Amino acid sequence: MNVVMRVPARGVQSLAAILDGLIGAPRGEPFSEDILELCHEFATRLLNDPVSRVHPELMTLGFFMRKTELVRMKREFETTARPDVLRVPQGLVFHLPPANVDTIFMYSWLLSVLAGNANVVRLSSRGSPVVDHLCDVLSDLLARPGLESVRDRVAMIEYGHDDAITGAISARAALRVIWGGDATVDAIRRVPLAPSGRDLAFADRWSLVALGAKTIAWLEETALATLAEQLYNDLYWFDQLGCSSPRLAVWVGDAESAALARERLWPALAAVVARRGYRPEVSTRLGRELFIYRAVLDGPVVSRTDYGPALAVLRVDRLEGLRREHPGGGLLFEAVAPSLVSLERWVDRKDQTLTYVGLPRHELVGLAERLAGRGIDRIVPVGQALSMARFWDGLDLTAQFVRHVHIVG
Amino acid sequence: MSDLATQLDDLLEAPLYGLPQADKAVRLTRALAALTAHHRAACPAYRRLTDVLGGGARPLATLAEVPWIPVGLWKSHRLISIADDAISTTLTSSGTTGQAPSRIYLDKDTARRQSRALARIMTHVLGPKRLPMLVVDTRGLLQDRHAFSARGAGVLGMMTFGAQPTFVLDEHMQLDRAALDGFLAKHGGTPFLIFGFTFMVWAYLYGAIVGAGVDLSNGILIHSGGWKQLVERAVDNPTFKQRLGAETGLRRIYNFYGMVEQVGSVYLEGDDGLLYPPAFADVIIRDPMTFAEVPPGTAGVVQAVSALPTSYPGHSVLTDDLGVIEHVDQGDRLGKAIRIIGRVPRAELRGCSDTHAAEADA
Repeated sequence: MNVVMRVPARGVQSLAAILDGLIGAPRGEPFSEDILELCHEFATRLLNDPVSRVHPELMTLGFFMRKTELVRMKREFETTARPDVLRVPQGLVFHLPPANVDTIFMYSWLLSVLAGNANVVRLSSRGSPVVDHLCDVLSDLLARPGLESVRDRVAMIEYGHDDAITGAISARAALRVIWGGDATVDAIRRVPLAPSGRDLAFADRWSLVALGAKTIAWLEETALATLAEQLYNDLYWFDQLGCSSPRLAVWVGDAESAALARERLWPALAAVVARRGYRPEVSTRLGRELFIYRAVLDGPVVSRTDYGPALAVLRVDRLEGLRREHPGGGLLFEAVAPSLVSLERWVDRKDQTLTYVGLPRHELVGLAERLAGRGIDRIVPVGQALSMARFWDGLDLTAQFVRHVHIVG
Repeated sequence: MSDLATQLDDLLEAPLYGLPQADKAVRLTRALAALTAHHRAACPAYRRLTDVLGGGARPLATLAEVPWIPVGLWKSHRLISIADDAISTTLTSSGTTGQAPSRIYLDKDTARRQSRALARIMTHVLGPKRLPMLVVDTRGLLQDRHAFSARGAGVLGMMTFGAQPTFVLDEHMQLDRAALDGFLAKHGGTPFLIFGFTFMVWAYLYGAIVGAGVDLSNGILIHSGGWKQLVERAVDNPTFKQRLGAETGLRRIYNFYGMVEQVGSVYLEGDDGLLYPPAFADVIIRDPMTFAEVPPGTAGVVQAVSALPTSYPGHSVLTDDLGVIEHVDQGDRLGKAIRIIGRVPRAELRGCSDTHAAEADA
């Protein structure tokens, strides 16, 4: 069985040979110097790359991979060390990133390679300019002398939906990382793993933003403009289809403040959308329109307001009955809640990220405590909805990518 | 209701292509406003949609003000303005595999209006006499009499304008040469009707007779169904007509645009190759981003309006097609002359939802 190798070098290769090579390669150790060095180089390249100006998600990836960031991550890792536990790599990790959130494969690979694992990453055969670019940069760096040990532990390969290939890799992987949606998770799970293998599966999620109504109603103009920029990034980077992009905006506070704040924030957001020249594809635009009609028939929508062609706000008079579906392309459901904690009854497992502005920490913690794990795995300030982090979907990924060897005595 | 019925019937009998656009728009707007009120009263789902999204009960002064329903809504929701026991026929769209079909509910009145509409349009090119008919399809299409596919409904609808229909494809879409030759021996010397779906006419009729010297010069071909598969083969309407004509002598070739959501309101091709909505139907072309009406010459999303349906709220539909109004009130036929550009291209799905399904589909 042959596959198209993309990183560390282009070419058609035997899958068995690739897997033998990865499994036979000397094991790394968590946060080893050569990997930190590679990441540092990679980050430097990305942050100075003209391509990153067109694709801001590359900038974010670059920041995530800076040496200072990684050293901080390493120190955090070390603070959780215990004398009776030795943390070692899992072995071969098989990553199945989503085809179209272009940078997730890098984060998935990165967190795993930092733990010292060998990695196979499946890239969609459909390709994308961002993925291509990242692969080229990475291959280029890996060709440098001194990085052989890292190079021997990575294979990024392109293939379509081929259960035979997925099966052959799964049979030899210690850990399989499946980035959803639900249908993908279901399809991949039907392909058996080695008995000792484990799945790390990320299903479809839904996300919301909580807005302190009073704060925003009285926010000074420059701060309002900054907030609008941050919301823009959260919503529009991936056509609002990233799982952590907010789909529901909840005004927390009294109705009067909410009314004032709404009249300020949505036009400000629409102004950013216009300035950035965001335009959905025509089919996305039509799909969103159809979705709105369906949402009105299926849910508690009471009104619709359009702020330009790429922002429609559907007000709901209650959250009960609101389906967690979304078409992307600039649509927010909008509700008013007297307090953050009043969301408790509505939140469920599917809810992933709560972004917030103008809400005190104790209310955020209070909601998380009341939910007690029934939903919402991330609570981050607006502007950071799409920032990948070590903690994701309720897991500490750094801990997931290592094995913990318990040594008593 | 009887006022509404009279109004619709009047429009149904108006000169098909003889109303200047300004007059047509006034009459049609009045009928569509009455239909909007009718469906608001008769269909709770439609009422909710127009209340929340369409400004509720409001006067409609121009065609462009008539609220629309996105065509995909018939795939997911039951939109109906009659009691269940009044349903006489349910139409379903063929749709792409894996997609839910559209479901359109007809009562006797709407079905009658659709038949009459189709009759007026077809006799415009066929004349009042029922001509012997070649059907470029398979007889098997017409099995289930209660739930026709769009293709079946189309064939059945056209059969009322022909006589002694001869189906020339077998169940494997192979041309039945004996049936074709038999038909031509009997009827080929005088005008006859040929009906089929555009792609099938091209692939299974034309494709099977290239170089065979088949004489279809007395035929009048009426075809529909979209150009997607032909565009993929680099065949556009002029090429289609030219090649068929050169091969068979067939000169009278008329394409039409229609959809299962608005059966009867078909836009028939004129001699200039453009499509013309009849008196009781029209198009509004909208900017795909703002949905504002755009002027002739500018391409956009096609909104189709029709004064035929009372049994379901399909009198104003926002389609997934792109089109352009080439000119208005020029040439033999009055009103808007349009060109359909084709289906809006499907965007690549982004985001982390169900990339597996999306790719499998692509």
